[in-house]
Amino acid sequence: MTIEAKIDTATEIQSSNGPSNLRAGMEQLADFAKNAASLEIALEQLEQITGEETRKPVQRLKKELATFEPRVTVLGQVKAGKTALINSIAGWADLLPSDVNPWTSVVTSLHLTPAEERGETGACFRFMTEDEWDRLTNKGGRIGELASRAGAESELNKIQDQTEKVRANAKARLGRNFELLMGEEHEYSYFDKNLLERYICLGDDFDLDSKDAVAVEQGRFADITRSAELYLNCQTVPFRMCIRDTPGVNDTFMMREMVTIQALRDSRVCVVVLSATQALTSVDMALLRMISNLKSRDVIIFVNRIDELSDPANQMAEIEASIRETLKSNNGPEEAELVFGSAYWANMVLTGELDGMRTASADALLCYTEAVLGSSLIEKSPSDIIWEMSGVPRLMAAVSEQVVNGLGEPFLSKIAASATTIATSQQAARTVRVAGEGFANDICMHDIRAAFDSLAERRVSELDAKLSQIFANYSDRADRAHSNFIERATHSLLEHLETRGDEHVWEYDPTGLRILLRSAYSSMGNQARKSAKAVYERAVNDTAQLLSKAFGPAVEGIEIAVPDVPQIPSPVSLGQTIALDFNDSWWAMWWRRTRGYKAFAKKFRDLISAETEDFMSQIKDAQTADIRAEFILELKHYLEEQRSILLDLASEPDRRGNAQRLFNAAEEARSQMLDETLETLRRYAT
Amino acid sequence: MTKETTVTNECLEQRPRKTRLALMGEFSAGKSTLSKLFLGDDPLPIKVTATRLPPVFISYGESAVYAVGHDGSETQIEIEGIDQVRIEETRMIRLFNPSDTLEICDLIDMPGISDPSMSSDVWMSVMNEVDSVIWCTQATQAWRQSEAATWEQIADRTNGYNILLVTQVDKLQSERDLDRVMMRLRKETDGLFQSIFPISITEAIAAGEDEAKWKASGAAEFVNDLIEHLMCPTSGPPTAPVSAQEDEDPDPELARHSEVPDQTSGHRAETAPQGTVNYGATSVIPKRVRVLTRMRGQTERPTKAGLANR
Repeated sequence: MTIEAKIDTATEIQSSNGPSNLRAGMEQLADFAKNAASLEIALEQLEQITGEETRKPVQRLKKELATFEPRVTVLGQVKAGKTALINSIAGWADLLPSDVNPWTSVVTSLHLTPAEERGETGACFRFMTEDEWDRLTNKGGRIGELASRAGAESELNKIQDQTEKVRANAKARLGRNFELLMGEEHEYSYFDKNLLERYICLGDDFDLDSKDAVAVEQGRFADITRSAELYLNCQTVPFRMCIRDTPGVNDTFMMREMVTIQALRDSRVCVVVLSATQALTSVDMALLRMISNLKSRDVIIFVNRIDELSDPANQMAEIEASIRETLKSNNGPEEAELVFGSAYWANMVLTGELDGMRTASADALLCYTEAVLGSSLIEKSPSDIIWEMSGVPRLMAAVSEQVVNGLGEPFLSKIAASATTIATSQQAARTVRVAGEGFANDICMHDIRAAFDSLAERRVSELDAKLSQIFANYSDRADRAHSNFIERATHSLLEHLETRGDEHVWEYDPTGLRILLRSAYSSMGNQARKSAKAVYERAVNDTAQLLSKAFGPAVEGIEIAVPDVPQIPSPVSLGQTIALDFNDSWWAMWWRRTRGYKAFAKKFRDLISAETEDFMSQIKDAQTADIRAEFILELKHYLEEQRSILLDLASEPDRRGNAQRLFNAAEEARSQMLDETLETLRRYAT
Repeated sequence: MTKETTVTNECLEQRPRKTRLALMGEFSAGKSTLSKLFLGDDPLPIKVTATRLPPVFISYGESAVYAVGHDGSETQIEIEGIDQVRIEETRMIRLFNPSDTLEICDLIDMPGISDPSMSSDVWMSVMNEVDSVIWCTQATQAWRQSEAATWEQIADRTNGYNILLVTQVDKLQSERDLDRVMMRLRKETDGLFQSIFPISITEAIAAGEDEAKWKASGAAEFVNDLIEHLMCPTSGPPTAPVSAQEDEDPDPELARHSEVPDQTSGHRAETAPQGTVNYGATSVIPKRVRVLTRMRGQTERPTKAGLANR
C-alpha cells in the first residue's frame, strides 16, 4: 500500500481528532513535570508540619515553584513563519492571527498551562511608556550593522523617523487618551481574534477593504502596545511554558526589528526560524551571532517551510551542509541544534484539513515521507506521520532538553536545597524539645532575634561594600581599556594618514576592545562571585554559631546549605555594534566625508566616544546593578529563611519540655512525614 | 572594511550597445531560474542554497566561458567548472550563449545580496556596467529591509527602467494573499520601479508552448513589458516611473525603428571565441522571444500584434 492511499483513506477518520502524538518529543519535559509535582507535594507536606514562622519561607518556595515558567523566544526574519510555528507548538492552528504581510510590532507571550481541554483564560496588554518610546529609538544592538546590511549607517535615523511617525499617528488618533494610556495595562479574562487585532495587529492602510468599521477598530491600540500576555490552557505541553513571538527582523518597518532585538535581553532559550527556501542570510547570521554572543543562551535553529522544497529529502541535506558551513566560516554557533520542518504541515494536521493541502506541498510531503520511511506499510495514522514530518516533535524535543537542563533542573535543585534546610531544622526543632533545655534558658528569644538581625545586617552590608569595591575596580579597568583603545586607534589612524594619505581607507579592528572589555567583565564576575560566596559562607557560619549558642547540641543535625551564588549574566551589551564594526560602505563613506588630518583624529575620537557611550554605560553600570541586586537578594532570601527557622525554634511551645507530647501519636506521624518529605527534598536537591 | 575599488571599464565606451540587464535580489530569490527562463537552457547552476558565483555577464555568441580577473585578464574555463571559480580572484564570468534572447540584450546574473559568505563588493564593482535591473523578491518574504536598503544604494546607477519581479507567487496560498502582498509592495516601493510583476518562474518554464499556462504564470505580462522596452528603450523614461499602475504602452512604431543589435559592436565579438557573431537580420526578434510576443498577440492587448509580425 502506498502512503498516498493511506493518507487519503484515513484522513476522514482522523481529521476531526487530530494527531494522537501531540506531545511527542516532550518526554523529557513530562518527566520534569512529574518531578516538579512531587517536589510540590513535598513542599505542601513541609508546610503542614512546620512551625508558624518557617511556614512563610516554605510558602515563598511553593509560590516560586508554582510560578516557574520556562521561557522560549522565537525569533527570525519577518515572515519566516514564526507565528505559524508557535501556533503549531500550542497545538492550535488559528490561535495567533497571521497574515501574508507583516502586521504586528508587539512581542506576544503565550503562557501555556497544561490542560485536557484547550481554552483562552486571559489576556493582558501593556502600553508603552515614555522611556520605552525613547529606548526604541536609541538603544540596543543594531543588527543592520552586524549584517553589513546596505545603508546600515542611516538606519538609526530611519528608525527614529518611523517611530516618531507611529507615535504621532497614535497621538493624533487617541488624542488626550494617548498620555493617559502610557504605561497602562488592559486586562481581560478571555481573548479572541477581535481583541488580538485591536491590540496587536497594525491595521494595514493599504488594505483593499480598509474602509469598513471593523478595520477601524482593528489595530486601535496596536501601535502603542508594548507587550501582549496571553494565557491559555493547552493540550500540547506537559509543563507550563511561555512561548514568545517576536515581530521579526529585517522588516522595512524597522521599529519591529528594534522590538525584536530588545526581546533578546531576557530570553534564555531561543528558537531562530529560517526559511528553507532561503536559509541563513546575513541578517539571520547577525541575529545568531547576537544570540550566541550572549553565551548562556542556547539557540535552536528551525528551518521552516520544507514544504516549499521540491525535493525535501535531498535538498535538506544540501541546506544543512550550507548552513553548517556558513556558521563555521562566520564564527556562528556551530554546534547549534538544527531542526527541519514545516509549520504549514503541522497546522494542516491540527485543522484536519489534510485534503486541502496545496498540491506542491503534498507532493513534497510524500516525497519526504517516502525518503524517510520507505514506501512500505505504515502502522501509524497519516496525521500522526505528518505531525512527525512537520518537525514540531523534534523541535520540541530540542526545546525540552534545553529547558530542562538549562533552566528546570537547576531551579528544582535550588528550591529543594532551601526546603531541605527548613526540613532539617524542623527535625532539630523536635530535638530541642528534648535536649534543648539547658541551653535555651541562657538566651532569651528576644536576644536571639536581635543577634540574628545584627548578623544579617552585617553580612548584607559587607556584601554590598565588597561588590562596590569590585565594581569600582572593574569600571576603572573598563575605562582604561576604552581610552587605551581609542588612543591606539587614533595613533594608528594618524600614522596611516602620514604614510598613506587620506586616499586610502584606514581599517582598525574593534575586536581588541571587545576582548579587553570581555576579560575585564569576566574577571569582575569571578571576583564578585568569589566574594559573594565568601560572604554567604560567613553568613551560614554565623547562623550556625548562633543556633548552636542558642540551642546547643540539639541543632547539630540541621543542614544549612550555603546558598548558590547566582550566575553572572552575559555581557549583553558587548553584542552591540559600534562604528568600527560598520559595514564597508559606511566606513568608506565616513572616510570620504571627513577630510583633513586634524579633522580625522578629532572626529574619530568623537565618533567612537559617542558610539561607545551606551555600550560602556550598559556594561559598566546597568549590568553591575543587576548583579548587585541579584546577589543581595539571594543573601536576603537565605537570611529570611534562617530567621524564620530560628524564631520557630525559639518559640516552639515545647521548648520547655512537654514530654508528654512526644509520645503523642500525632507527633509520631508528623515525624514520619517529615522524614519522608526530607527524603524527597534531598533527592532533588542534588 | 572597504578597499577602494576603481572600476575601469572600457566596455562602457563602446556604443551603441545592447541594454545590459542585471538580475538581482537576495540569494535564492530566483535569479538563476530567471536566467534559465531567458536563455531557454540552464548554463548556470541552480541550487536551493546560495549560488556562490561572481557576477556572470552573459552575451550572445558560441557557447564559451571565461573567468575575468580583477586585472582584466581572461581565462577560458569549462562550463562544468563554473562553480569552481575562485571568487576572490575573479571579477566576473563572461559567458557566451547562442540564445535568442541575448540578441536583444546582455544579461548580468548577479550574486545574491545578503549571502553572509559573499561581500557586496563582489557585485558592487560590476554595478557600473548595468543599465537596468530586474530585482527578484520572494513573494512569501517580499521586500525586506536588506533589499530596500541595497536598492536605495544602487537605483541611481541604473537608467531608471527597472522591474520588481515578485517571484514564487505559487507559494502563496490564495489570490487574496497575492493581492495583499502586491498591494503592500506597490505602496512600499512606490516610485522605485518602473513596474512590478508577480510571477512563478518555474510555472512559466513548465508552461512550454501552453499559452494559458504561460499567461497564468505571470510571465506573459512581464516578458511583454520587457521586450517592448528592450526593442524601444526610449519608451521607458526614468523620469516618470509608474508604480502601481500598468505601464504605459510604448508606441509600436518606435519598436519598429528601434536599435538592431550592431554587427560591429566589437567588444563581444572580440572576446567571443568564434570571432564575429552573425546577427542574422531575420532573427532580430529571437525565436523564444518571438514565441512570447506571438502569445502576447492573444492577450488583452492585441494592438501590439504588429510587433510580433516582424
